[in-house]
Parts: sequence; structure tokens; C-alpha cells
Amino acid sequence: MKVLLIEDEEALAQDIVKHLHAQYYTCEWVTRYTEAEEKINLYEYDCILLDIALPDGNGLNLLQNLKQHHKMDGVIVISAKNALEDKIKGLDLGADDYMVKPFHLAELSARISAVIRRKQAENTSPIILHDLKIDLPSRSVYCKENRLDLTRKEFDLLMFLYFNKNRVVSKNAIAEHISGDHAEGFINFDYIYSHIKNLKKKLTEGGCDDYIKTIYGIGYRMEV
Amino acid sequence: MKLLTQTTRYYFMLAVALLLLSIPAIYFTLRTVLIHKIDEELREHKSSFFQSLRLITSEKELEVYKHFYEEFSLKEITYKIEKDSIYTTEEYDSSERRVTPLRILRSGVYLNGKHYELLIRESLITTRDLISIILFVKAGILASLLAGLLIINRKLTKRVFTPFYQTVSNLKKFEIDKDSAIPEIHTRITEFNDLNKALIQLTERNHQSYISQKEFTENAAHELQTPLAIIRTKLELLIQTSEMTNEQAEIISELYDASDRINRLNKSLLLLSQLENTGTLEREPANLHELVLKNVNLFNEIFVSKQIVPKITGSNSIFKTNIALFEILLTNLISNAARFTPDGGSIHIQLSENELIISNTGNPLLNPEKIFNRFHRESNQKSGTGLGLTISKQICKVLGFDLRYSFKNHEHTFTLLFNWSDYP
Repeated sequence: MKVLLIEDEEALAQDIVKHLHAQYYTCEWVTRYTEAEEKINLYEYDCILLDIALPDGNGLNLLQNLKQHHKMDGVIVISAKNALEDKIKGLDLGADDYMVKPFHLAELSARISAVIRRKQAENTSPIILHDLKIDLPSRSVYCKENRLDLTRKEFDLLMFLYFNKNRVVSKNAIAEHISGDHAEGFINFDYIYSHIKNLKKKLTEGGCDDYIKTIYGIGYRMEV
Repeated sequence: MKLLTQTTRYYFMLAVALLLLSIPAIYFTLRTVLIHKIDEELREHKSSFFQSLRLITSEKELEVYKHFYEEFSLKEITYKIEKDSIYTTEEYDSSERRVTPLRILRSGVYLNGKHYELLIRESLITTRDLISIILFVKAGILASLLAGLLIINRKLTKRVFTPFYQTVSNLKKFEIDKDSAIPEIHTRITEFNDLNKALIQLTERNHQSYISQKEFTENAAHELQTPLAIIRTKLELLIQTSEMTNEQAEIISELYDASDRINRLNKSLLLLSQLENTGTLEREPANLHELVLKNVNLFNEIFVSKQIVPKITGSNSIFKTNIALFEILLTNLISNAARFTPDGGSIHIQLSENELIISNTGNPLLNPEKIFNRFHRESNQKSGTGLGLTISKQICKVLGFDLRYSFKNHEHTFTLLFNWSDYP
């Protein structure tokens, strides 16, 4: 999987690159609008992470450019502005997703995976994970052919952990992912604990291994 | 009371007092002067009478004299009048058919060995008429002077005060976030010019400091975003590294929580400063009941765990508003209720065409008047940013709504007034 990161903030970019490498993505990183333009015209990427505010140009123009040439690359717009207009403009121009800085790396992985899966032709095929079969479009989960009855939040949680498999995901990232932007000042980890507990119970009852490991004090890791 | 009325009132009072005082003063002065004059005349008459008396030798002659000079009357008396006296009296005047005032000089005359009483009379009628005419004219002049004063005062001051009233109305219209200063006014009156100039400077300075404060909040929040993002990603990379001791994990977890908190705070500040900068907003039809239900559902888990069953009543309404902002507003208000309602308490949401009322049980606040202030917290609960209600209030301002808080019968109530009538 090839990811192009267009981001002028060095420290942040390096961390993102490191994080994506650990998830077996091939990640290229450019800091300038002109460099990005060159790369986009020369190569194809599975996903482009695009910072709008670049020192030598507006990232939204790149997006426009990309869509004009009918490139199929998935694009996630990254912005430091929480401005609603930017978000709407970005999505109107054909961005697949929009993230506001600062974000959790786990959230970024989940969004990249979702974008890539949506773009790929074989995205209709279910995710197979040992005994676990996840069908994304119908949001159903099977364990050794037994259908698991998961709530919406449990399913989201499972997918979030899956997209970050073999990595520690902090409970903070989970909380933010599960409750969305609306959780303004309302982070209560008790609900996360109970969701995880229920999910683990349902997985083991369905006959799967307990993939979800608790990392003391920090969060969880799905080990596959 | 208007300054104009106030000053005119004093002028008027003075004028009336002077007028009232001047009438008796003039009357008495004139009367004294005139009577003094008449008395002098009487005395002259007397001395001329005595001169002519020397020429009169017989009683007959005296009768003739008396006949010619009506104002003299001579009566024989038995005693001697030692001293002259002058007095005022009234007498019926048959020719004028009315009682007329008279001034009379009474003196004694010794003639041919007989004592006579001499009365010289002078009518005061002309004097009285004169005085009343003078007084009348005087009163007329004073009254017209007064009326003129009043009219001039009114007209002149109204014209003179126009720039002042204009400055006041400009000041009333001044909006710190929109206008850079109140407009300039040209007038010849130095005081008003000074006032206007001072106010222009003041409003300009206020506007400037308002703008720079707004920019500061926005810039600060923006500048904080990148370092915050770095802290967050570094922490995320840190937890991927090999096994940690429990102690290390706890420290990292606390760092995580703290960075989340700064993050939320920063996002809220950014939202707040953006709200203050919003221009015209797109308005789409919003279904009130649907949106309320959706936002209540966001907090279902909390309601369940706190054994609260939110009650939604009233009639639905559909109106045009900016849905994104309206939803943030609803989320803030409902999350507020969810957070502060005690376990087993109740939440009641009433919908109607003109307002949305969200009430929840709870204890009274210590400082209800500060409820919408930035960073004001009633409890020491740390999870909130302390900006939720400030943002709500600001959103209301942007959307043209009104948000009010009240506490009654152990219930906190937020009333959202839509103010539809204010819309053009």
C-alpha cells in the first residue's frame, strides 16, 4: 500500500511516517506543493494525506488537479483549521475524508484503511481474520459461521481495533472514535471498558480466540 | 428630563418671579412718586390761594373765588386748624357716576376774624389710570419677552443640540465587532466637536483591542494545534514500544488524558473565535424533533447508567437554520443536562414552534449569573472545558436565538427562544 503524505510540519510528518511504516505501508513524504504536484503526476497512490495549508500553495488546488485528471487515489484532507467551509469545500472537491489536527494516529490508520478498502475493487470481499469474518457493507460479523450480534458501537470498536491490528490503541483514541466529535468534554472511560468487555465476551462466546489484549492503564491491542 | 427643559425651566421660573415681583414694586413706586407730585401741587395751590386771599376783602369776593375754583372748598368752623394735613379719600363723582379717589389738603384759614377749613382736592383718577396703563404695558412687554425667550430657547437649543443627539444615536448604533468607530460629525460647537472626537477615538481604540484580542485567541489556538498534534503522535508512538511497567503506563495514561484535555479546550477556543468571525450562514430546513432525538441518543449510555429517562414532549417544528451550528448547540445543552443531572434525576425537553426548553433536576447553583461566562465552573468536575455554555450562547447570537437560564423547584431550565419575529 502506497501512501503519500503532504505535510510541511516536519516533526508531525516524521511521526506519521514512522507510524505508517510500522503498519506496513509504503509512505512517501513531501513538504511542498510543487513536490507534491510532481509526485501526484508521476505515480499512483492508494491514499494521499493532504495538508491544506502548505507554504507554497493551497492543498485544495492539488485536490482539484487530481480530480481533473481522474486519478483514483483516495484523499484524506488534513487541516489545522476547524473551519466548516474548508471541510465542505474539501469534500465537495472529492476528498474521501477530512481530519482536523490534532488527531490520534490510530484514528488516521482507521480512516486510511477505510478509504483504501472503499477504493479497491475487492472491497466487497469480507475481511477474514482466522476464525473471524467481517462483512463491512452489511456490518455483520461471523465467528466460525456463527453470526455475532454486535451493537453498532461494538462493531465500530472491532473495526477500529482491526484497522490498528497488532498496535496498542489508547483508550483515549477509542473514546474519541466511538463518540465522535460530539463528546466535547464528555470522555468517560467506563463506557469504553464495558463495550470492550461485552465485545470480548461475544467473541469468546462465538468461539473465537480472545484477540483483544488489555494493555494496563493505556488501552488495547488486537493481536492477530 | 432633557437638559433643554431643565435650563428653560430655570429661565422661566426666574422670569415669572421677576414679573410677579416687579408689578407691585412698580405700582407702589409709581404711586408714591405720583402722590408726592400731587401733594406738591396741592401745596402750590394752597400758597397761590393764600396769595389771592390777601386780595379778597369781602365774603362776596370769597364766594366768587370759590365758584371759579371748584377744587377749593371753604367752610366756616369754630376752632383753629393748627397744622396742615394731606390725606386720600373717596367721593362719589356725579359726572363720572363712580366713586373716585381724591387727594385732599386740609388747612386752616383765618379770614375777617373767622376760622375757616380749607380743603383743596385733586382727583387721583388720572393717576390710577396712568398706573394701570403703565402696569399693563409693562406686563405685556414682560410676557412677550418671556414667550420670545421660550421660543428662541426651544428653537435655538434644538438646533444647537442636533449634533449632540446625533452623536448619541451613533453611539447607540455602534457595534464593537462590526464598526471601526462612530462616524464623524461636523459642528461649530466646540464642546460637541470635542465630545465627538473623544468618542471616535474611544470607539476606535475599543474596536482595535477587540479585534486584536479576537485575533490573538484564534492565532494562539492555531499555533497550539501543531505542537499538540506532535505530543499526541509521540505518545502514540511511545505506547507502541516494548513492554512498560505499570508505573510508566499510568504516567503515560495521565499524559494522554492531559493532552486530550488541552485538545478539547483548544478546539473549543477555536470554535468560539470562529463563531465570532462568522459571516452569513447557509440555512437549511431543520426538523427540531429529529435533531433533538438524535442528540439525546448520543448520550443514551449515560442516561441508562444514571437511571435517567429523558422525557420529550410538545409539538415538532421545522425551520430554517444552520444545521451544523444548531446541532453543536443541541449537543452542548443536552450533554450539559446529562452531565449534571444526579443519578435517578429527570430531564425534560419541551419542543414548540417558538422555543425549546431543556430542564433537569439538580441543586441550585452558587453563581447562576456567571453560568455563561468562559471557564466558569460550578463544580470541580474536571472533564468539561468550561466553554460549553459560552459556545452555546455565542451560537445563539450567530443564529439569532436567545438562551436563558433559570432555576425553580429544584430544576435547572435552559430556554432557547427562536425569535422568529425578528427575522426579516
